[in-house]
Amino acid sequence: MEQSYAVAVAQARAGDPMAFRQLVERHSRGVFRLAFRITGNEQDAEDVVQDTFLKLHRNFEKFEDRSALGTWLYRIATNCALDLIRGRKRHLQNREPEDEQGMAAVDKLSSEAPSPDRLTLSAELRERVAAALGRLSPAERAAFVLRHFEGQGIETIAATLGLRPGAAKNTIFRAVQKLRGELEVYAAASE
Amino acid sequence: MQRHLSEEQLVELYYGDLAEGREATAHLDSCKACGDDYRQLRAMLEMVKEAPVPERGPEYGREVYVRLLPMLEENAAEEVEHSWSVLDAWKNFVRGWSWTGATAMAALLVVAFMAGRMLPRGGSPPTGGDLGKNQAPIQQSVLLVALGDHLDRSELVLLEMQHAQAIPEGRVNSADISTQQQYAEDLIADNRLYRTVAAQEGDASTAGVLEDLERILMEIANSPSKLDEKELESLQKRIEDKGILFKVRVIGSAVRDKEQSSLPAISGGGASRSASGRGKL
Ligand SMILES: [Zn+2]
Repeated sequence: MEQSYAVAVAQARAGDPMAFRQLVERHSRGVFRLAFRITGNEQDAEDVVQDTFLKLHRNFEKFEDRSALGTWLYRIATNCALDLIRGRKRHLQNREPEDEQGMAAVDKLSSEAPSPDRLTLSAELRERVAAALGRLSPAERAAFVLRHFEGQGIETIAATLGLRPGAAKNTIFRAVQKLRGELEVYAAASE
Repeated sequence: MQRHLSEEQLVELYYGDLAEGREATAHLDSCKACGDDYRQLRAMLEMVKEAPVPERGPEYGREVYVRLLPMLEENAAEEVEHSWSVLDAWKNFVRGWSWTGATAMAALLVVAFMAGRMLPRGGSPPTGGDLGKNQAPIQQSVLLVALGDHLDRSELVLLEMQHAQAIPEGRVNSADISTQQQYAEDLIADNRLYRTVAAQEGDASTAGVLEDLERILMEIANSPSKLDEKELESLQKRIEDKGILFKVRVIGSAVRDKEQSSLPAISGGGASRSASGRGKL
């Protein structure tokens, strides 16, 4: 399997469409998961998946280390996702200040307060988690997702985000601190 | 470790990044304040880990590829341009001659098909099931890549139709399917060629699926480009009832299997395959 994977990578890099297809089929779901966790939006995640593979296709010859295509691909995907949410943030900031967005999300949560029989606690928690992740800065969110969900090491995350390792570590720490501030009370309650 | 752990150290400990991990763990066991702090942090992080991601089924990768295909071809178009002089000549010849509107891949198929016809054939008449099996490997491979691409493009149109939605426009909901129609129209001429070749090669099952596909493509192409909710639903239902998407996928993967197995017959493998696979200009 891994042997044939390495062959597929080499062939795709040489321009073989069938091999490229194999790589798309193999990595699409993983890239989608990563993209969704960074963008928090299904349609955005689909756009990121598409952009990621297009960029891979366009720049494949720049890829040298065959064993770590996954890492390289996730690096492309992370940066596509960051571009997308940064662009969106700028766009939104022209219309409303950022903390109003935050407040709007909180208002939405409380105004939609569900009757207990219709919505489980965990569904409400899911929304709170999503909202808290949504209030991280793009870099915090990306760094946190790569560390927390993808299990990537500090060095890899730093390289992906173009940061020094110390800065990457700090970014993750800030993200955890913010999440803690918003969510710990619910985690304690649900234990 | 005598001193209490900082929040930063607790986070590092959780992720296994803390250099003095063992001492820290020992401290957590002996210090209730730090232990509680750590357990709270861990519970929060574990809760975040449960955040769900929308499901994507096993066919997802395939769908992504099919949606990418037109863009990959644009990407590749410039690269191949140089290496296509002979085939371009063929394409122009064939196009100018009679196959107006057919895509380059369909023209390429005609080239392959005619070349195959002109080559001495293996004596026994073609039997059902094996598309183009009597043709020389290079022609067969070109044909299979072309057919595979055609099926991918058809799948794209069918998927796009399946995902089409009626959105509010004025007082009614309506769906604009003009893009899908454009695609469908482009595919009909190609489809007719492949169907003819499949029938002539005695591959009744492929010819049958292509015939069903052609009907659906015609129906998409000939529908009004703005459909109301009901019309859209009934068109989608007719597509679904025929199970055409599934059939297209089945012969698509059969074609790709054959394509793979015909690969070693081509000298140099990658180069000629990639040229033929990216031939749509
Ligand atoms: Zn302590």
